[in-house]
Amino acid sequence: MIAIVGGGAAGWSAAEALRELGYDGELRLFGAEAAAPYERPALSKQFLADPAFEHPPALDVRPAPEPEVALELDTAVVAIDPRERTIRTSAGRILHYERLLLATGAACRRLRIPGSELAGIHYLRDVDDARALREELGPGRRIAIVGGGVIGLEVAASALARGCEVTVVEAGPQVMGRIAPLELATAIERLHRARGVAIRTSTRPLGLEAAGSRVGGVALDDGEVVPADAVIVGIGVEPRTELAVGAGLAVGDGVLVDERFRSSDERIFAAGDVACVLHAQQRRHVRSEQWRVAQEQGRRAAAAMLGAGEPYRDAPWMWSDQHDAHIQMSGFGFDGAQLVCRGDLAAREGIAYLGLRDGRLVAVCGMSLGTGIARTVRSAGMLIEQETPVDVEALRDPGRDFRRLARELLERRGGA
Amino acid sequence: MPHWIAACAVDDVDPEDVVPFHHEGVDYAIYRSPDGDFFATAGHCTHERTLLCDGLVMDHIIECPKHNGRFDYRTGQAHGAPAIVDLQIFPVNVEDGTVYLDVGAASVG
Repeated sequence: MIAIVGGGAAGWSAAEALRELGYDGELRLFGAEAAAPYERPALSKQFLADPAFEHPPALDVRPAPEPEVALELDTAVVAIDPRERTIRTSAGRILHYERLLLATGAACRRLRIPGSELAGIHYLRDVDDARALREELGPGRRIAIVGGGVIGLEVAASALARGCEVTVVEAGPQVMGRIAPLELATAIERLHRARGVAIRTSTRPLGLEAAGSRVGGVALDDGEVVPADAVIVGIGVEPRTELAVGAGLAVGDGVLVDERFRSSDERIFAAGDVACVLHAQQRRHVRSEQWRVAQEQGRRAAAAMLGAGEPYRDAPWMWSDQHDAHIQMSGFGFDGAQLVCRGDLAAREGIAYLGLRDGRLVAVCGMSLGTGIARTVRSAGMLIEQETPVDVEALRDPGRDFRRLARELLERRGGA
Repeated sequence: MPHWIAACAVDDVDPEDVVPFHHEGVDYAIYRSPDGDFFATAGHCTHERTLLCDGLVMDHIIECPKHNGRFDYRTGQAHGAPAIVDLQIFPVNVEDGTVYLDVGAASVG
């Protein structure tokens, strides 16, 4: 039996890929949630903004993989015994595995300040969280969001669409600090303010104040209190490594796996948010928290479990929807990179920031109203993956179409 | 019934690229493969109805600009979540430098 532990993007795509690649043995997917695998990205977006949105789209709606994947829902795996090659489920069953994929994802980092246990404080990870949070939204409701990252800002936009009064509190000097360079973050902040979201950066919450039995406000380190009928906390996630630790696997910032997703136990693999993957291009362990990355890693890990597959060297890619803007990012961050800006937000193709190091692209992040940014970010992502030498002056030239430029560079590289 | 209409000029589309085409309230996407062959599909992604013309063509794949759902634009086949439902495809014919599209099978919407 191949056991997949976790029913998110990585787990489900691994199950599909195992069947596509011809594995026809016993295949069980264990999901701690009651719901069958579904698209999590919608939870902070349409699902919150639209009360009529019944359930996030299911992942298992294509012609079902053959033979059937046994979905064990509402069933957590509580222990792995790598020597006996068995798992124990929350229902107390012991099952033997040949190969096992850890796809347990990540859990929300909890706020640990006075008042954090009050009612009306929400985290967002699964559909139950999103349902509870959705109940809090409505015209005139005062919503405070702790954390100005992707989740915080998407929830801000969704809450605003529901008529809420929204304030975002971010401890760092800029929003989306892990993803966007300051210049783009400033543009994103400007967009939120123009749409009606209040944003406070470089401000830390010291405590949550009560109003009756519920939360009533967020006390900030500058002495001010942001009144709030509900608080949403989006301050990052921690990989769910408890099972791996219990099984004695090597764990760092996630389950440490090699370029083919194999852990320190040769029969156990990991993919998605929980996995810290030795990246063949970066030559270091990289943990990602992006949905499409999790899917791709699930597929790759499936191939690796069957003894196939290439070393992992993809550039991470993600998108975010905030108000009427579409944001995309690819690559490995802007730290120490030379910045090149292309376009502007008013243009169809939007505004993109390219980060260069040693004459090669390492990161791209951009925003457009509509989906015009996609070509630039995806083309740049290929240049990043291929480590293609680029000419800064050509990148800066507004007269050159970026897609064509990228293709020329990639072809020159391929022909060389 | 076949209903052929002129969609664009051959030179309007780079090899390995896509352009939008709009006809009687329906959006289409016209593709030129790396080998120079032309193809056409419905204009919107089957996942969240994003227009595909902002997407990237790679070999015989169109990638949705919003969530990177991938389809084979020759067959319409969806390549996995978030692209789960296949794209509708339309016959294409090239004559004298013009790309013609058979919209006879287009469903309104």
